[in-house]
Amino acid sequence: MQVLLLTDESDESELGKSLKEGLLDLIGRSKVEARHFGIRSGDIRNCLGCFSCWIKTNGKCIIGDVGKQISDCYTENEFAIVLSPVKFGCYSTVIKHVLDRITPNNLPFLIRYRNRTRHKARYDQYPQLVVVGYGGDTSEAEAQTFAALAKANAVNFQKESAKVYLCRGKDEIINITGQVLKLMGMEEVTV
Amino acid sequence: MSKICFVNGSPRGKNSGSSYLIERTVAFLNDKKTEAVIIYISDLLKSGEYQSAFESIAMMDRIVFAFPLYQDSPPGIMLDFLGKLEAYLLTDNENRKRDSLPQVYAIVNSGFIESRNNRHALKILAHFCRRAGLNWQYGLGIGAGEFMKKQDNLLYLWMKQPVIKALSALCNELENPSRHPQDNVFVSPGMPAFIYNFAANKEWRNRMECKK
Repeated sequence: MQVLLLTDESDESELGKSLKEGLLDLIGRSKVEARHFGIRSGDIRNCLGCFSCWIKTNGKCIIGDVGKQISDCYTENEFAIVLSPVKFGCYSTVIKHVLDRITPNNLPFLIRYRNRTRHKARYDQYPQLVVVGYGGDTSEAEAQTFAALAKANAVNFQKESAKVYLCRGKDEIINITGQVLKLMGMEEVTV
Repeated sequence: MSKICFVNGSPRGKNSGSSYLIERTVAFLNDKKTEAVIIYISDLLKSGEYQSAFESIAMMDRIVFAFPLYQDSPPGIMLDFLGKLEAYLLTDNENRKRDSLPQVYAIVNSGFIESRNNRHALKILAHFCRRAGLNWQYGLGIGAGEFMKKQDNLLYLWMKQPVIKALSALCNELENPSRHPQDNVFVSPGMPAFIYNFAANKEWRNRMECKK
């Protein structure tokens, strides 16, 4: 099983580091093959909104950085796990740049799906989106916005919904990482 | 005279639907009662000169953020700007001494005709205001943003009327602000979704250099 893991390396919070290490440790001890992109703010440019990926390059971003690498391999995975600090009920800037840059994986055409509009899929398969937001001071209202946003993103990325977790403290890490692994149908391999 | 700052958060800057919506709004404002300033985040990104923009924003009576919807939320550059502005507002002592901080509004436009797709982005703006100590008022969520940019003819002008009326109401609010926050307003041009999607798909096919 191939899994894409996206983390924000610009975030230096202890909670973020512990959560990432906990998840990587658990994945390392399972049979999951993870492709991990730890992205720093200087590594990725913002989406230019130029539409080149839709009208000129057949789904390839014209910016040759890590954002393109992630977009190019996005649909090769069964799961896409996004770890992000919660900022104003949204993702961190770095993770938001990544999600904006995955846009080429859809076609520009609009279709009606379950009484709402969405983009037509470019490919046959898309990964299940798993979003883990974290932040010790995230308010309940921000947490609700974050969860609703992640679920809406999953629809844009051609899935029914996202699985969303919110981690407010280190004591929740074992539980959340265990749930993420279970969600992927994997058990921890004890040596 | 009230000072109003429009912050354009589109990566496409002056050539964006957000730019059109700002211009349309500014045209409604009475220039004897208001002074409007427009800041383009795409320009700040190139120059790196955020400080003077933040100083200017902090002295405004009202701020209007205008941006396109990217993945149901503000574009990355807009989010980055909000984070930097929050840090500035929370650390600048002169700013913290002010009796009243600016009131904040937003104009968000989505490429889909469903205006309610903008609801998460407007909530994110409200959360930002709470964190930064600004006064959130309300936001305008607009569907079919790309259509709004199209050159007016009689039919298009008729279709655009619901959005134009909402922009006009926003102008009244900017000139005579309410004391309390209001509910967000969601509005789209007057046409069925299937017609908008059909026309948009036809346009995309025409623009595509490589057909799939």
